[in-house]
Amino acid sequence: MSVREYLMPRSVPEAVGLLERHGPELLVMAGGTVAMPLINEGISLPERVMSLRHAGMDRVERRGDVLAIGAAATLSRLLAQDAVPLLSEAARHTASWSIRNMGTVGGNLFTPPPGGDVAVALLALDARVRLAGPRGERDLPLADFFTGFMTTVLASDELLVEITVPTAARETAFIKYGRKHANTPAVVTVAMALERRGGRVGVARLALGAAGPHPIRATNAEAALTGAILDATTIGRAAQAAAAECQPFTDGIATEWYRRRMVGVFVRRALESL
Amino acid sequence: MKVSGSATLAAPPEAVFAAICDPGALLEVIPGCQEIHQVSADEYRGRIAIRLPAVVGTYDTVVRLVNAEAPTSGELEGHLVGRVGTIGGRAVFHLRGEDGGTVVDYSGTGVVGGPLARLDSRFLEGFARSLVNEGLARLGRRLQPAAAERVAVR
Repeated sequence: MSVREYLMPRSVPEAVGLLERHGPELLVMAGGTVAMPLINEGISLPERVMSLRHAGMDRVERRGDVLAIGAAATLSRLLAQDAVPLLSEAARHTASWSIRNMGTVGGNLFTPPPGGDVAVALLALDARVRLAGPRGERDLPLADFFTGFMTTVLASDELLVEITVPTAARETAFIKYGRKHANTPAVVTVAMALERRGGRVGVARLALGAAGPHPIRATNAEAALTGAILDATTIGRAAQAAAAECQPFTDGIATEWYRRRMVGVFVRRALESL
Repeated sequence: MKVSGSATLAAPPEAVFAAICDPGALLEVIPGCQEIHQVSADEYRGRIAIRLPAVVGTYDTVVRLVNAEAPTSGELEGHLVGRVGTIGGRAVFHLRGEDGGTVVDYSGTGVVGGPLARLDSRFLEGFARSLVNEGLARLGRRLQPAAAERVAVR
């Protein structure tokens, strides 16, 4: 093992200070479910590791009309909350109990596809992320956070501190389709949040996992839903749009062709369940 | 590890092929490429930095262009050696003119050695896909800066 120093900050400002002092070579670790296997296998050789476990970033609490989720809050804690049922549902379908007790909500945003199921649900819920760095804090929509495969707008001296999700009630659906019922990587993941006004769809948010280099919003499908009556024609149109606009890939779980077909199938099923 | 796909670039096949053989262009378009030198008519040596979270490192790189049929096809053979493993690979590409642009079809295989080989394939294949897509997008921008938005990578 290459690790010579294990840093355990007790606050966010202390963590930001350590990151600034040691630079991008410092491995930032939350739950360790991704990083520790890499270190143990000799693939990752960091000299310094900073744990966020005791940096005061592990709470999940209602704050006015949002649910504030610390980036180092475990997936089990997310599963236990009842303010936003879609997030409990997404957490329940992520990994296994033992991994959920260690893995964090923030860490899930950095997990490569086909992982990152909670991030898909957060995207459908118009979540925002709060980033902290030496120049202060910034708050942005999660939709603007991802830039590519395992790349984000996070600067090398910034930390993801918190995720906020509006608690306003919306009709929601979450479907993770995998090869097994539980503890399985996704063929595709679909998360949906919808608001109807006067019988028509007022707001539609549709997010997809394992259908791009990172969790993505299916904006053409959302446009097909917005303003329409949620009938079989609209549902068919939205499912077709989502299948056309997604960017799936081939891996050991499924082919690009199959994933694209399944995006259409499970977007339709998600909408029919509302 | 396998990667394949297709991309459309807004420049004729001759310009695309010339860029693939130009070390200056390769330095600009290969993500993380820190240096590259042409050491013979068909061989390049250089260094590429991989900045996958937790798998940060630089790789000494040798790339050879073989079976080149300018401006329609060729094969790139490469070998990367880093602190935590090696990556050897071969990729075949075909260029065909279409509406004043070029459609690039490519397919490649890679063999990973050392501790890096224990890395989950979702990291390696996803990273390889992102490298190719980003590289082709950069190549498109270099060849036709004004028409960058026309570059379609899939």
